[in-house]
Amino acid sequence: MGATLKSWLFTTDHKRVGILYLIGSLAAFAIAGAMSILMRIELSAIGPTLTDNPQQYNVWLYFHGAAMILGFQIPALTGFLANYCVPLMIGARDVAFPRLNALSVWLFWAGIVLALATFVIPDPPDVMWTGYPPYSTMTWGNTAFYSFTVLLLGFSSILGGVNFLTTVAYMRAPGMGWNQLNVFVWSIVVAFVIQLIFVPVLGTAVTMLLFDKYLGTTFFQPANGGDVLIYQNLFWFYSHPAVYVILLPFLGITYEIVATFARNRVFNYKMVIYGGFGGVLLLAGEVWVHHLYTAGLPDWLRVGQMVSTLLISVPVGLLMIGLVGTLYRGAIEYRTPMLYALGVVFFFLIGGLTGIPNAIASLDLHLQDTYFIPGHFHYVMAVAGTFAIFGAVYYLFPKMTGRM
Amino acid sequence: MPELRTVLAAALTGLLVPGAAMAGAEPIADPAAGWDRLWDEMLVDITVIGVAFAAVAAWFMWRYRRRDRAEGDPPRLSAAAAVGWAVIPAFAFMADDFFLAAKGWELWKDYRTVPEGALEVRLESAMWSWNYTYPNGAVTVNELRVPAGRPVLLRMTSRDVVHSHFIPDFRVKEDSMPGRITYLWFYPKEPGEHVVTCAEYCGLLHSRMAGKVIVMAPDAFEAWYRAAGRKAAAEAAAGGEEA
Ligand SMILES: [Cu+2]
Ligand SMILES: [Cu+2]
Repeated sequence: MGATLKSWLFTTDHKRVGILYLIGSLAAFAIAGAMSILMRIELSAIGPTLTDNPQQYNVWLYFHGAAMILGFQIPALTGFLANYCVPLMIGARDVAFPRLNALSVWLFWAGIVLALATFVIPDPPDVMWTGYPPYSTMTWGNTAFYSFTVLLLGFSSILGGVNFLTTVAYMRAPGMGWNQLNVFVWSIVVAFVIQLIFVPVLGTAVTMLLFDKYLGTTFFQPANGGDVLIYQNLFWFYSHPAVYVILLPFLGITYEIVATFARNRVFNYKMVIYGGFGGVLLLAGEVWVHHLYTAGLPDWLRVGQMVSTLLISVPVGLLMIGLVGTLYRGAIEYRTPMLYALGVVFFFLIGGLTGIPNAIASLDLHLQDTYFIPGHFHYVMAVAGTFAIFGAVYYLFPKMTGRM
Repeated sequence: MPELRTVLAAALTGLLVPGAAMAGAEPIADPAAGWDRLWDEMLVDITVIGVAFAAVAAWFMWRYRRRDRAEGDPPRLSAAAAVGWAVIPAFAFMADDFFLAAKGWELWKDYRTVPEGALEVRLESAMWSWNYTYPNGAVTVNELRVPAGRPVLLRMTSRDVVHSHFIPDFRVKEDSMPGRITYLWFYPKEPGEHVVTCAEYCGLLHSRMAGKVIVMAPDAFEAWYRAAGRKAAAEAAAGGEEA
């Protein structure tokens, strides 16, 4: 027993590392999901329902948001699925740097433990998953936990990015060209390129937050020459692309499942890769202002990024055409993973289309910060993204356990 | 050069019809009404796209279900067809994007162009109150009294953290931040009351950070405004004597 545990903890095998990611991310999903149930019960009636301490509610909200995105979605997709599938799909024995891989899963677990520690410390963070100053630098909640959790998971992601880009670039089976890669492998490549470009920006932002709160700097304090908006810009400069770090792999694995159970070839492969993934990569860094439409930025910036945000519908539309097109003249078997994958198609359709009103800067002046926004992104992330991950778990379960 | 054109048009009408240039005050474009219109068009747009897409997907799901151990028989796309399947939908989506962007921009201009003659009120938000200061020095807390029929401009800043001044009935909000000045305007037409709420989390009493816009008949407002101004002046004078 002890030996088995040790062999799992110190494993450098990509499949086992993947499963370690899966266990951690499902744990994060379970607890963060429980938080959302607590919140809904609390909101089910006017006045205190479960707790009369408003700070308790904020802690639930903090954990729900931070753990679902940083602890569940990103690690399940770019940790578990990438580790489990990419080497198998490109015909490599393992990833390029197996020990680095082990380090990234450890950092991920450390991040999860740190996030869970918020339940036992007396001053849990209460800064949502966004951590806007000056609130986050003034609150008695422990913003350091937020910063360090983000930094640990960020490092884990950067190491993963270096590892997987190297693996795909140099360890493909002989004769396997870039145009023969699985759609999922491409989605991981693009997701990690995005991570490598943008994670450092988030790391910078939360580090500045840490310095402001605990070490007396004033990056975000106007009274001492700082500016509150810098943080929001830096934060969303990462956190919009982070949506694609989740979206692309979950669509990628959905493509694999749909192609498998429709017994069909991916429709118009090059359109999907270059038009869809390439287009998203091209636009990912030019749309963050749509999170700041009400923050008093100059008009040219708000209107300009309204146009670039709307243009996201072009690559995403192509990805939807590819997905639905893969059903065309297929022989569809309705097994469990396929049911999840088809759920992704319809829920992502709703999630994507409800993003268009928010993209319009003038409509967003009313919609921003209302339930319409959580509605939109929960269709994309919470429903479509989670369906894709669950579908993938069912899809890979026989391979992982040797059981059907 | 729209400005030049407007100037020329105004000058010409001014020459031809004396007095017309003065009446050139256009009717004020109300962003709230524009919002409702664009929202309706938007719902039609995304519903049509969504239903069309979903119908095709559902049809494929039924039509191509597996029968008799069949395998998929994918279409062989020629190079031209493959490019066409990328470029034609891309242009269709782009056309819709630019169409929507143009409409959004039109409305944006209404939202961000403050009509002349607006009543300008300064707002300082704080944990947890909305503090309004009028041009004559009158001060209110959590109650923005305005006359019906006159646009209202709020110039906003914040004492502590980021708040967001949201008036749902007027379809508008804008953040107020320490160290920065932002603005929004709205057009109250009829007397009545409208909710103001804070739309950016700002601490434990964030959900109680509510106020009211009270739209008054113009003469009632005028009477209140004078009295509140006198009261503020008296208080300032008293404060000055004490100091
Ligand atoms: Cu975004
Ligand atoms: Cu507030």
